[in-house]
Amino acid sequence: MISNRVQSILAFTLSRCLYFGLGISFIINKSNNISIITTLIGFILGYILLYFLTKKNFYNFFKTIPGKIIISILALYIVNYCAIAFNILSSNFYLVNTPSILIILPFFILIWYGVKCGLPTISRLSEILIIISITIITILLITFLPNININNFFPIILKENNFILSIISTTAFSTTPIIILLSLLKEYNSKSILKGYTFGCISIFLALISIIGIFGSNLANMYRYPEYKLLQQVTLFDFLENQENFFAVIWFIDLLMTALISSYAIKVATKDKFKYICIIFVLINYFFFTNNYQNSLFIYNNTNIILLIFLIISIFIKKQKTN
Amino acid sequence: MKKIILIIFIVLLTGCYDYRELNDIAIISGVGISKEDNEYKVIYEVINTEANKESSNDIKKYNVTGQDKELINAISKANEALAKKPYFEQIKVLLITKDVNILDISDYIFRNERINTNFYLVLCDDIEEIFDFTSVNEPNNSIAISNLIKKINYDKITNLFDFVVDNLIQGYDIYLPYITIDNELSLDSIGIYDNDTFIRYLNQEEYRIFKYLNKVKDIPIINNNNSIKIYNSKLNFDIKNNKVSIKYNSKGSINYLSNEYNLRDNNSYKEISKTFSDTLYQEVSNFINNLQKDNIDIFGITKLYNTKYYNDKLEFKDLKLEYDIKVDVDKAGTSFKEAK
Repeated sequence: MISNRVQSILAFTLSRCLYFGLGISFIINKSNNISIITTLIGFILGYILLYFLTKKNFYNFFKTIPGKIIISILALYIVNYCAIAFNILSSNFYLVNTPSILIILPFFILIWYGVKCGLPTISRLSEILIIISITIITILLITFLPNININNFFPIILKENNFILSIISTTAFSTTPIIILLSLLKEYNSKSILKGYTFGCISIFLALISIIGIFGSNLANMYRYPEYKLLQQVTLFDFLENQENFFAVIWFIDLLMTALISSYAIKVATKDKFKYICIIFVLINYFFFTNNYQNSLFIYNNTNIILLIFLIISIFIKKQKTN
Repeated sequence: MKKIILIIFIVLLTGCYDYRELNDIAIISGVGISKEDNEYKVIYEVINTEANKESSNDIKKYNVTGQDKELINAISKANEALAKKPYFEQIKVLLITKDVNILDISDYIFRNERINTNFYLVLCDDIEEIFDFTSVNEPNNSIAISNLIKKINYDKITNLFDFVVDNLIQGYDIYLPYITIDNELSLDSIGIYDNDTFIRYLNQEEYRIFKYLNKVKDIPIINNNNSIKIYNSKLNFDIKNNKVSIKYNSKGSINYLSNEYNLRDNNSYKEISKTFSDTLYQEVSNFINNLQKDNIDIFGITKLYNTKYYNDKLEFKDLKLEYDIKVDVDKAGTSFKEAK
């Protein structure tokens, strides 16, 4: 049993994890400067959905064979995304000359070690890392807010198809990863999960406001990683510049925590076979995704639909029995 | 087992593979791109990391050049001319000549993840002359130019390279600071563009008014041998009823007076304020009206207008402009009477 606070922290990181290199860029691409409206609606929709999902018994569902298969596939998909995002972030901005295998291998070793230590260790780690995350998010907000230009949010032109797609994608990106956490916990506190989700969504919403408010939708759309470009604009006290490599640690924390939780779910589902799955998975991830831009582009374009399928399945899971 | 994992992490996660000594990289502080005989000429201003800071004899920076018909080849040649690995993360300015099309060079810079695009585009006539100049104030010319840019209040986030290119892509007009050598490096004017086409430099009178509007402090306004300086100002564009009201509110302090004013009397301040408001009204309205005749909108008024009335898509010359210029002179310095 993990504490309510840790549940909130894990829900916070899980709700944010799919936005780096995917969610933010995807949503801005679909709905331009009205992204702030679509994400807001998407987050509220996700909150309502999560409220009902927390009433269901995912723990028992995870014990069944179909449950194990479904949750494991979802967890594998998310770990795969985390490894790709980790590799992209590292190879594009930090270790340009380092081969991808040397980047993702330590990432997987770290996850394997974390999973081996178990959920209490992952929980403790999350409690430590969240302090760094919140401190950086606060500093970033203080830096970004004065540079926001209100005119960048206008004109508001609604394109119906993209508007709905953007809302649904936001809901899927922020809500679906939390299903993995719900599957791992025998008892969970709905309020804590919802609190973590809410703070996670607020932080992403503020990031989106900063991106569109500073860059404008046109420039934000041109960038492959607008969230990283935004970090390049940070100047502290008029002399601390080029600190983006340090501030990007918030995305690393989200990716790491999500990968740990998802991998732990795979371990629970597969038990002794976990190490074999790990080896096969690393090879698949390296040869088919991190080393293949077209396949990672498939992830970029279709993750919203794939997550949505999992979300729809989760809606049909039985409700938790109340005593 | 734990120790083995720890060793693997230490070796791999600390970035040893990408490790580079400071002396093995060429830190480029400024880049210049010009076009000569239909060829691109790329010049890097490189910081000499081996120079002794305290020794005045040591060369603090050096330039390398690459030239080719294609920009990418010119850059490659400049890179090859460097004995060390080029490092583009610390670029302060990108100097260009007026015949360089910004959009032609922007894609390469935009796409390259090793170039930190947080720098300013600056116009000049002769890049080699600028980079070869030895300033007494600052050994590195790119840093000197960057400091000058801060002085004219140009160091806003929206004047960075990415934002300038974004404005051009969206079809808006831009302006760039213009650097010359007049005993020292100096920002003499700004170059104005009609979208991506260079039009002209502002003359000294226009540049002075531009500086008022750009919140540059302590620029004097002279009227009949009286002078004030603006110490605080705000420029707003209020768009209502298909009209643009250009509102400039400022606070000024008296530089010197030749006419007799009783500065113990509050009415004198009102009188001085009105006189200088009228002067500034004339100057600002003439300046912006002239720009409007040329259809060059360096203040982004058209962008604001078309954002509000996005079905109209008017050009700058079609906009109806009104001016509301106020100068509130409220400081007399340490003297109540003119010293004559």
